[in-house]
Amino acid sequence: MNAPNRLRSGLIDHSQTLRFTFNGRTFTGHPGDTLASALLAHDIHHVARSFKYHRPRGTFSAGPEEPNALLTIGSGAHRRPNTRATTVELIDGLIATSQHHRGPLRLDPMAINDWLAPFIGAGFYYKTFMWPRSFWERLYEPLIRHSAGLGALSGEPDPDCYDTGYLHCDVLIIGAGGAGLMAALAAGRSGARVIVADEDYLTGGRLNAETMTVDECPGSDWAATVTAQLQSLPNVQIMLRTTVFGAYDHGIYGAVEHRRDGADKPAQILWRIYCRRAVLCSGATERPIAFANNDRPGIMLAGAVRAYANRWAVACGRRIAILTNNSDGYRTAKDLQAQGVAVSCVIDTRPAPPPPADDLNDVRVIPGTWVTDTAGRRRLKRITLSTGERLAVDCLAVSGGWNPNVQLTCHQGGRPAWHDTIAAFAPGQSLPPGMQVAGAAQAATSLGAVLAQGLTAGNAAIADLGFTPRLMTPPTTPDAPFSITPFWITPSVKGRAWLDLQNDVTHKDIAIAHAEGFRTVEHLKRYTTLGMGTDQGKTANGLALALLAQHNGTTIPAVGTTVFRPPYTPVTIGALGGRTRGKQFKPLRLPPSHHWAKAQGAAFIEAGLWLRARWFPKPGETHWRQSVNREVTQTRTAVGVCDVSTLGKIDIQGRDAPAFLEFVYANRFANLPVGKVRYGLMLREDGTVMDDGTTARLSETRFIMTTTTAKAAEVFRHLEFVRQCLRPTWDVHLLSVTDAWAQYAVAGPQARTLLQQLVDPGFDLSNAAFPFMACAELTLCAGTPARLFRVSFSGELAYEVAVPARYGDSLMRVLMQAGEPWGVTAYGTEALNVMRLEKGHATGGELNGQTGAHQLGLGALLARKHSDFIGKTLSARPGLNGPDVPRLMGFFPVETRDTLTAGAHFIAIDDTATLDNDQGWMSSVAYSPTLGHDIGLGFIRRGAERQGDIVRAVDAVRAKEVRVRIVPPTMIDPEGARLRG
Amino acid sequence: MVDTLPQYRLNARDALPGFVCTVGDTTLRAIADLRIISLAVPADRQTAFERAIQTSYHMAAPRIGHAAVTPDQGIRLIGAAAEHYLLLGAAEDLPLHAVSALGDTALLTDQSDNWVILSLSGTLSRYVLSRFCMLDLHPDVFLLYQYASTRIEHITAHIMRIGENHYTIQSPRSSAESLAHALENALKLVG
Repeated sequence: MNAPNRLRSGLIDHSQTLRFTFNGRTFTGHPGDTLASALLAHDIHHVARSFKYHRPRGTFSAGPEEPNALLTIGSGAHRRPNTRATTVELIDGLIATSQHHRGPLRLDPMAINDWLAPFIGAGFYYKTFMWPRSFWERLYEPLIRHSAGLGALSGEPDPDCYDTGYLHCDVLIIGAGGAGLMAALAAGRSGARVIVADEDYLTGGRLNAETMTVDECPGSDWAATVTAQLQSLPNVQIMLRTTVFGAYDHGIYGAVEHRRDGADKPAQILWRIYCRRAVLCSGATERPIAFANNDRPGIMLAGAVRAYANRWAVACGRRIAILTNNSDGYRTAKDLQAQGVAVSCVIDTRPAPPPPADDLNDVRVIPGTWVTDTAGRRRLKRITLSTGERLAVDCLAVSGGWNPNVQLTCHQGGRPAWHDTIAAFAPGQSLPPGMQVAGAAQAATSLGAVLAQGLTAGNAAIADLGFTPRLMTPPTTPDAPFSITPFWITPSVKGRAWLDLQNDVTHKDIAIAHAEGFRTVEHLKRYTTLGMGTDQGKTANGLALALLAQHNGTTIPAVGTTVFRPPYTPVTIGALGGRTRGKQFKPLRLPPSHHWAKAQGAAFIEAGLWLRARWFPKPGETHWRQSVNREVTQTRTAVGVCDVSTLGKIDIQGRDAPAFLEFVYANRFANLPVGKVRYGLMLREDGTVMDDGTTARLSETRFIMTTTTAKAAEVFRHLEFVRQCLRPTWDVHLLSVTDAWAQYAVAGPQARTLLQQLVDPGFDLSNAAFPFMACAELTLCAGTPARLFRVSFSGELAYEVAVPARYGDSLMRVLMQAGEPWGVTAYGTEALNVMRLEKGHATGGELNGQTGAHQLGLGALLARKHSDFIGKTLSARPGLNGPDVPRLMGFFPVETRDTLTAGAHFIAIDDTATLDNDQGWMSSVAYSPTLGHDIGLGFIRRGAERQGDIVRAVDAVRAKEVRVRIVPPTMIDPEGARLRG
Repeated sequence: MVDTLPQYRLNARDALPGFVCTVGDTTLRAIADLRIISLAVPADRQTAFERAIQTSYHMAAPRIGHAAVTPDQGIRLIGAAAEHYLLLGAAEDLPLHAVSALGDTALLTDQSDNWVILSLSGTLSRYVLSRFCMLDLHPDVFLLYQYASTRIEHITAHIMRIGENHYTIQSPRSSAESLAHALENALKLVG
């Protein structure tokens, strides 16, 4: 297809043709084009509908500030909505569609909103949809939500690939325009490690859009030459298509790199860049001038029109007028003329503008004049001047001055400062630590100043780091003076003048906000939505601040800006998520028996990062309860095996290890004999229980502590804190050995019989030789080193046997094989939980960080008058020990068919279920196959004195109530005969 | 009392049996049969420990975050933390030898089963790791036999550079499969 607006020259490859579609029509472009430039080459201006009024909108800019040309790129699950056409690098086969309209783009019935504009101004929905109240959630909000939003996601999982990563450098250069390249060259030649990041796919920045020369060659050529020099330096990394979107603490910058390495490679990579110094060379963004109907397709920023002509070889119209309040507008006229594009006139709002630096031949200059209105529905056809004159033009290039891109300078609380010379905010005094700003971002108004500032900033950054600057002289440029007389909005606008094109905020909305009291810039933003959206008001904020200042009767600096926060430009959720999806969403820790358990068809549960077997279904079992009941019953009547390797295991060695344990545990440990295990209760400083477990003494100076699975890391961290900070002079050494050992509980009347098949000769397992709470190091299965602990969580005769983890899989298989004659069963965490409940052992539900030893019935352990331990003082406070403090008790349903629920609260039989009448709560429940009904553990006031009492367990969440009887927490074998047998 | 040898035998299973993945010239593989001994130096025994290391292994005890190697490159000693070292070697008798070599100058704990160690070698190595860990692995910064702790996909990992483009990644055994999957996936993405 012929591209009627395509010029010759530019920085595109005219020899190659790329095909793409827009709304189903096929177009052509060239390598080097953006989607916007290719569309404009085909004279396609109208590409979108506005957010609220659905007015036709055209490409407005040539960069990331684009408020209008938001398109959906790709199709199906690959579609990416709200993509700025001005930043999309054209590729062959690209599919683009317009969005946010019903019906075809040309005839959007939602454009009726434009006629309803007087009724739907800023904040209308705060006031309009007040009545009837019930309609808000059912009707109004769904209706507004349906109408709002721009593009839409596919609703399917994103098939694209994303990644994240970390980069390090001495100097990060943000922006590869003139200033950035100079800074990079200065830093790179000094030997510093440099990263240059630019969101464009070409280095050079505005140099590619201008015709100015550097060292007497075209600016774009100079940029290419410098880039080649930088690429030859091994210490310099140039990252194109990379947007630095945020400046964070400690010299960390966030960046998104867009890549085109193929479908199976990351499309975007989110980088965290660590730098010692940063030089921000982010340039400036042109701002428009507001006048009536200034939003028509064909009305564009003047710098963009110039860029399309110079860089992308595109004439944005056949007859172009220029509206300006500064000298930059004349440069657009000159460059367009040089490209052979007809320039209708230059309309200068200044009554007596300085003579232009360049000869504009016969271009008509109209000083002291502005545009009062425009015409043309889907494309600009005519403009009306303040003189009353009407001009037929198809493109109006508007230049209201340039705003330095200060966003990243403000990400750590800095505020920009007003500069009269450019009538704009520039970086203030408070910058992120280590950051310098150079070039147009620092209010430089000439190319010479831009390059000089870049050089200075680059040299300063490396000098700070101890490198020797080697590049001292900037290149020469023929500079022209810049002058501007601020002109924000035409006087006495008839109709609407748009300030924020993306959010459809007009000058009338500012007036409404002001009239209703929203007079600070932050309130204005939230009331009108000005400055929100994908462009974050990059072309809108300046005008709005000026207008708000007019309404407030103050100055723009007095109004100030809103707070700039990351991200500078939109970052996709996919990029933020990176590769952490599916199997990589989070890591899994697998116990040693995992592969065996998987082969048995075990059901698993994620316990923290651990993947633990929950139960092991057998053929014919149709409900998990059947499996769990069988595992419990078989363990209590024969023998069961459970993988308990997930318990935290901490090796504690050193001369002061006994004293250390005596200090970190609430109960005595220094007197634990070698070869014995003891239950330990660990308190926090505030006296509440942190964790519990058993600790075995292997020698005079060596202990093995076990922790709960959930608290393993927390306990280890706590112990290290105690060791390093509270008792730094003690000779104590801690080592986490959780992963080193596979550990299995072997429980049940036949546990000893089973283990006797495995222990090597010479080890006596008899009750007399190896009684309850004994431990030993031994060998199993002909020489495998092992540890054996006679501890019981189930209440049965039980052992925990540990071998080096590499033997864990094999030991599980051997235990099951050797135990077969005695009816061995593997049991999972559910059966484990049932048995500990039957036995009244506390775990996570009871050790919830709010309970004390007294509440758990373990107060006697704390009776240590002559030695200190962590939590001693505060464990004695009344709040943990008073008579009314809820005590751990067991609970049976009065009607044994009733089921119990954890979380229910205990209320006296005749009381109403209110907070005042709350007597405690149910912390854990399970069905006990041993007792034949549900059982529970919970905390209830004066529980120990009320055994046999009946209360109500009220579960308000599940709307359920059950009468329960208070029983002792140890519900089976209270004398412990089984475990000592 | 049991008086006959059990009829059962236990077989060792590596955390990542035979794991290897190659993309271009870069290979990720699990190192099997490496013994890892934790050495904790008791208070006031540091000098004696360093002397014992010099005498028995002919190398100087390294600083924290660095490793020393024996002249035959067969054994590495890593300065893991204050008063804490890791001794690595392939010899089956490494623990026994360490006991006799170091005597009471160090408290020994066999940690061979606590860790999995992956080897990542080839030109893509640094780029693969840069996708995961926040350490600066530039060769001018992360020197040969430098050792640092970090996290890879939320998993504790200790990275050591043992060659120009060669690193080891030491990580807990229980999460070895997740770690290997993540690194393999990254190698394919980078390659």
